[in-house]
Amino acid sequence: MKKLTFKYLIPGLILFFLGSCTKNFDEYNTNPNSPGLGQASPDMLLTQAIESMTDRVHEIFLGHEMGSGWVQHMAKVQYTDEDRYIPRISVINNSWTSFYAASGYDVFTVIKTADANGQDNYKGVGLVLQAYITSVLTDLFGNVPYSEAWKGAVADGGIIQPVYDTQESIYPSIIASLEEANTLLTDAPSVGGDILYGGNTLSWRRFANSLRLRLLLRMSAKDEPFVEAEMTKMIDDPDTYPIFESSDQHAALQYLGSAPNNNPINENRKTRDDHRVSKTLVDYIYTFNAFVDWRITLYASLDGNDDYEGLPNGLTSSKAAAYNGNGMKYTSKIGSFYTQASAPGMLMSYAELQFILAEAAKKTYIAGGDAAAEAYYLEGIWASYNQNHDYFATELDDTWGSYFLTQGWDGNQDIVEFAYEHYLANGGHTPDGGSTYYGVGYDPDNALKQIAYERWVACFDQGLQSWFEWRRADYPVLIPAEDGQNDGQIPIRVKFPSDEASRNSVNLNAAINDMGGEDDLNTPVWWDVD
Amino acid sequence: MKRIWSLLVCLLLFGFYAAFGQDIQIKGAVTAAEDGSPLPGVYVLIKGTNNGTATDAGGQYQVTAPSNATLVFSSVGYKTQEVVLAGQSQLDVLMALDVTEVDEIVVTAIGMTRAKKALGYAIQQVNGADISQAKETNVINSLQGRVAGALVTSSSGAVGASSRIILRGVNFVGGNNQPLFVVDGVPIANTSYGGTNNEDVNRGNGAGDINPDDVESFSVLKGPNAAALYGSRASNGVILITTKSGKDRKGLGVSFSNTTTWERPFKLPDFQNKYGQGSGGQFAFYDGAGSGINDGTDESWGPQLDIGLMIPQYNSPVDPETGERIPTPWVSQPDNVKDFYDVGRTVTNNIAFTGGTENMHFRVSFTNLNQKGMVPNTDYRRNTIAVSGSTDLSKKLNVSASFNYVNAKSENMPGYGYSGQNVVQQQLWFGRQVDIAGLKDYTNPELGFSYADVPLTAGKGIQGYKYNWNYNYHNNPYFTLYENLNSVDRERFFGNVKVTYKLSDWLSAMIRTGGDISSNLNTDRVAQGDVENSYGSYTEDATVRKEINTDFLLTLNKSFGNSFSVLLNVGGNNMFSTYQNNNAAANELAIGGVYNVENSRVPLVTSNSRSKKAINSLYGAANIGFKNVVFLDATLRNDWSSTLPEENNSYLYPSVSLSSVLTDLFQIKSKVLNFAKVRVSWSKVGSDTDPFQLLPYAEFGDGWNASTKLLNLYVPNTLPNGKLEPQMVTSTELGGEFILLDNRIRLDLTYYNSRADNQIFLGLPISATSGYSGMNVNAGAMTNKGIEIRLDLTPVKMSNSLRWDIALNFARNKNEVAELPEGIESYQLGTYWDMKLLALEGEKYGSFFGYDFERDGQGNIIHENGLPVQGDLKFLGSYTPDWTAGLNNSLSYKGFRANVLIDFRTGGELYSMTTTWGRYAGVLEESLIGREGGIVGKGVKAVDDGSGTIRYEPNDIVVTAEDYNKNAYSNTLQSSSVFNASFIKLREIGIGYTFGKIGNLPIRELRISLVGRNLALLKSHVPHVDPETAFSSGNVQGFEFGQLPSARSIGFSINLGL
Repeated sequence: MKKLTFKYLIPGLILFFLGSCTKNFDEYNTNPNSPGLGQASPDMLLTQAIESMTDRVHEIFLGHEMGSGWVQHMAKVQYTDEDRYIPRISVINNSWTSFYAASGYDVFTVIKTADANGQDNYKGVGLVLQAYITSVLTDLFGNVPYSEAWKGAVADGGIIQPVYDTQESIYPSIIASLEEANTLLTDAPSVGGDILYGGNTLSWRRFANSLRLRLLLRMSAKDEPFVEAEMTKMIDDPDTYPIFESSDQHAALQYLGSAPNNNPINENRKTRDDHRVSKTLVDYIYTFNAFVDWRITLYASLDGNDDYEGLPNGLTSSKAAAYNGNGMKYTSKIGSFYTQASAPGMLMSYAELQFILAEAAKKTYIAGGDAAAEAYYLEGIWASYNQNHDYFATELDDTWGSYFLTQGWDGNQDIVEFAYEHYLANGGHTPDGGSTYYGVGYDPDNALKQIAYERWVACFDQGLQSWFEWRRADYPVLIPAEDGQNDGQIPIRVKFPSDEASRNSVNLNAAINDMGGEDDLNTPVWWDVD
Repeated sequence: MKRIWSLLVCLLLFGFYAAFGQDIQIKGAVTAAEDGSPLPGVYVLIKGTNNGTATDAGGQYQVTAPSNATLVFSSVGYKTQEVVLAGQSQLDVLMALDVTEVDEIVVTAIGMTRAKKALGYAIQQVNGADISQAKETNVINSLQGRVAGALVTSSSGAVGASSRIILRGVNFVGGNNQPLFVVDGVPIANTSYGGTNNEDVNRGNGAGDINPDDVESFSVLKGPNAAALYGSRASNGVILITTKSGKDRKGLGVSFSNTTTWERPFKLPDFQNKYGQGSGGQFAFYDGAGSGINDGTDESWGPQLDIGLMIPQYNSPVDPETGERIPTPWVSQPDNVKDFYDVGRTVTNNIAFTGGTENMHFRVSFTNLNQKGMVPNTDYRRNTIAVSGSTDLSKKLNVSASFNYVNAKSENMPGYGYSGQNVVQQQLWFGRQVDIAGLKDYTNPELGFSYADVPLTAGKGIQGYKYNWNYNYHNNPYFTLYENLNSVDRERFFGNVKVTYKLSDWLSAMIRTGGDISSNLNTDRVAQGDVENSYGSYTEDATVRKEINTDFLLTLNKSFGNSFSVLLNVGGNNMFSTYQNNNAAANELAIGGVYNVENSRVPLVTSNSRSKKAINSLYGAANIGFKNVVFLDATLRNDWSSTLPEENNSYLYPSVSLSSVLTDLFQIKSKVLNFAKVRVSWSKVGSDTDPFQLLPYAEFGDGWNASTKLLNLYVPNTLPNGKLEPQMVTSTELGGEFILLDNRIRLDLTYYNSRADNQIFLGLPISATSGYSGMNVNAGAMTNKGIEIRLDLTPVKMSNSLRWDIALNFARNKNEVAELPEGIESYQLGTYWDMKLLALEGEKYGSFFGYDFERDGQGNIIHENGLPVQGDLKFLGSYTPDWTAGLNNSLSYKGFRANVLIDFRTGGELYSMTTTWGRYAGVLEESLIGREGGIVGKGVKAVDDGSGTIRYEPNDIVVTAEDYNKNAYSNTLQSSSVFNASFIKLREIGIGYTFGKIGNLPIRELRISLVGRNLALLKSHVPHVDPETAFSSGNVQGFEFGQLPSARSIGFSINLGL
């Protein structure tokens, strides 16, 4: 009996093995941890896409150091490489990967899924975000993949080495997709997962059209007739093209009070103390002027001498440490508003829009001439004062309350309003480096300089956009970093990521050649005309 | 413990009783067969008992034994003989020289024990006895320098740290490259228990759970040729571990061993002791956060020490009147780092019971390892119970089983890498004047000093600052070690049950099932007041792994006529594994000191992951011997893997080998050439991938807002691939074994050549513009070519048992990333700051790619304003060494035995950020150069002669040492901290004495040894740290920062056998 059992057991086992060799394999290799891509609905992807995009725009090394640092809102007091125009290669690689493969691809998937399901609302929101991401990419680098981007999956074409498109072709494309977004979102149902606007599609249309105005102005030196036609069409038909009408409608992600949904500066300051407000900014809005631009109170903290003192950009670490006797102590940190966990991540402000419109009016891209330009300009300054009203009011009261009483404040008037009026009446601009003094009030002869300067002040904490705009307007005057590399010039572009050189070299090299043959920090992008 | 001792006594009594019989006196002479000389010191034991004697100087012996007993004669260098007594009282014995190396029996694939001479591939056995003297906590380290072609890298001297072993070079650009570990025929997992990043906590690796006391032998199957029968996971070779079984003796025995070692840091950085904390020569402590003069700066570019300066410091008393610190003497603390480390201590106790009769044997062993780390308040404990036994239920039916239970535990393991949780970090960002002993009481409220004086910055200060030398960047190191605890609690069970049935005397069948089941709980505490997270945090990470292997094997063993012997195996294997991980993190604690994930003031961050995998296999192996001089082996195996797409999930691969004993073939009988054998083999081994690589999924993000619980999904960055194929390693091996001059020279040579093709890249980097930053794809190839030499010499072998053996192993491996996927020039394995670790086509694996200085045409460094300038990204070396070697000298005389093991490694580089940051921060000795008078950087400067052409002239601009070091050594310049990682280490010295019979004591054996491991770095090119270092045991090697120092350990071991 025993013998019999063993005699048949082995062949039996072999047959059993052969028969069941791949049994249950499908079940084993089906991922129980994650939904299939087809199960991911647009609202679920939207949340992460908005957060990821905003995080990256405000990422410390990118937005706060390369952006705010190079445009001299902020400076570094330790580890000053970025401030000396030596950006970290890994930061450039990570930013590129994040905009394309993280937020960019999530947005692409939202658009694709919405398109397949006929969800105009999600598609419209997706197109706005895609336009925002694409504009940041092309403004950072110049030529970038767009027409063939995000098509790596076999079903989308299997393109893993997309060509680079010229900025000249990208701008009209994203402007057209913002038109499409505005149309799709008209009368569309609200969207879910929307941490920017709580699902309100009208707000998204305002963002789409405001963003479109930003991009139109940015390319304006290249095609004035087109820009004029587009802008006029939009401004003349506010029902079809709603735009931001107050700071309540601006595009800013309200961060939550704690990690991982907190503001990047808050996260950074938990362990680092490497940043100070730039001497350029402090000089221009505080030191050089007889009367203070009161926004210093919001932008900067008091230093060890109970005063506002900026740090020059781009010192060597040891010089920065020794600056003013003790660079760490006797220079101003960023204002406490910006280090709050729940500080907003600004994507586009109402104030910025006003300066766009002011410049457009001054340049006659839209109607109204100097009168309109002045109105937009003053509204822009007021919007900037008013943007973070309550926090600013408390700070003003604490710092300047008793002083304001000596200046005519009655103690009852809204203190922000008083500060704005006081600045308007008494403040001045010295953005040529201290030599020329302009009043704050609109001056038709110097209007473009005034607008550029006030936009630069108003867009504090929007490092990338401030830097992009400074590159376009070349104003206010910024002196290159004292110990800066890069042939003593402030960068006007970011080098392509080194990753691309090993992953998409043929198309990358074509792009570099197209842009003039040098992949450096000093090559102007298409819209950057001197 | 009491119970164990009474059990021991009972067993002993039973043993003596069993040995009792009718005794007679026997005497005789033992002589050498070759020349008839008398042999002293030969053990004469009565088989199955502990009784016996040894021959005297004249080779004479006298013993009392039962009249029907069997006497066992044994002596080092001679063949052991057994003689059955037939009532005679005189028994003379001739001892033949031992040529066991020829007849050596080795354990080969699927557990077959075979004569080594019949094998067509290289195999190297390491006996448990060789490693049991100087026990390593991680058993892999015991193989350092002992196996030709094995590259062992132990991560650090931290308790419970992992070790990596690579046989014959890495095969897979992006996959696992470590061999498969098989214990008693059943694979066990060698996964990492956490700590695979550049900063983390290293909690060890799976093979490190193996208890050295239970190991009978290691068989290292180095190439795929030897390992083909283990299938998919044997592409990188196999380490077969046979545990002790008790089968080698009858009756009952008890053995006890204790190994106690003490550890001190093997190598610490060379620090400067002339300048203290600060910057630009200035420093005064006010609040340690920037309010004093350069306080808050964690660098040592401050005022000169020991010249009578009085400066306020962190531990200076506070004047109660002014609230200011009263300056105290500014003096050096040369030993502040050295004194920080404790003397580590590792105690291992083992007790084992063995017993057996003709039909059964068993072994029960208990081992307790207790380790106290050199880093204060770190520990590691491991209890192992091993039970094994075998019994013949009938003449045909045998049942055997072995079970191992391991409990590995630590209350605290130290953090590593660039992290505030790595206490070594602040030894490199340090005030050299800091009196570290003064920090021990980290709860010190700092008499009279009010925390309110410290400006609170965002995120800091809810619990106030902890007492420290600096309040930016660093915790008080004792706070980190006593409050921020990283624990491990792992229970693991592995073993198997096997039934063998002899169908006839030439045919047998076996069924076996074995498992490796482990549950591992890691917890990480960060206490409130931590500098990086003032709220504190708590994380629990629980992993349960199971792997069950069930197999059957049919073995035919038959001779046909006098010429042919045939060994045929047909078998099948089912591997089924499951993995489950739950991770929950309270990233900010609501209430300090309560470590429970529910105590979170922010939304919990959780993750949950499960997977299953199965591989089914059928295989056959034929071994045909012709006249015992020519041997042909062939194997064929087919695997079916659940991880590959249906059309590609079945793959077949063969191996074949041929060997011949030339001395037998040509009937050479020579005193010079005792034995010669040649072998050649060829093999192919296929392997699969991880689960879930085929289809697109969305992943869960961290979530947005606890109250609204917005789910945030994202598309992962890796493009899946539904058409993956198995990857294949093809390998050819040639070898020869020679024994010369009466067994005094034994040489084993191997040449191999292997190529791993069609590699599975999970996440091969592609342009992120595609929407994905990586894709799964089959592509590329890696080649390894090399030679292995094992040379054993016996220069001295005297008849008085004095013997000197030299064992030399040498391996040269030429690794090349032969082919990367089209359009891809490099594959990134990891990064450290701006340094990339790449697989670069045409280079050795693990290439460093980073910034060099800008240089002129002659290679001189270009300076701008006296400071060196960053140049281009360049290939800066590779972590893969060129050759490795081990040299072991052993000397034995009667019971005395001593050995010295030296370990060599040549080639390969290390990127040491200890140098980068240590020079940046001015704490290292070299940073003294130019402190007074400045530095003129060696190199050139650009001179524009006015016409626009640039000439380079020798640099003559003086800069401060601080500026120079901060520019030449920083995260944006890598080449200045890449060093040749070659080394020669005195790895081990052991001196021991074995007592035979001691008087009338019931002692079978007593061995006492003095042992030392990692005793000296005889040669090294890397400053400040041990060149053998790693953050973890993965493919990212060659990076170093803030190395937790490796240990020099010295101690003793006692082995007692009853």
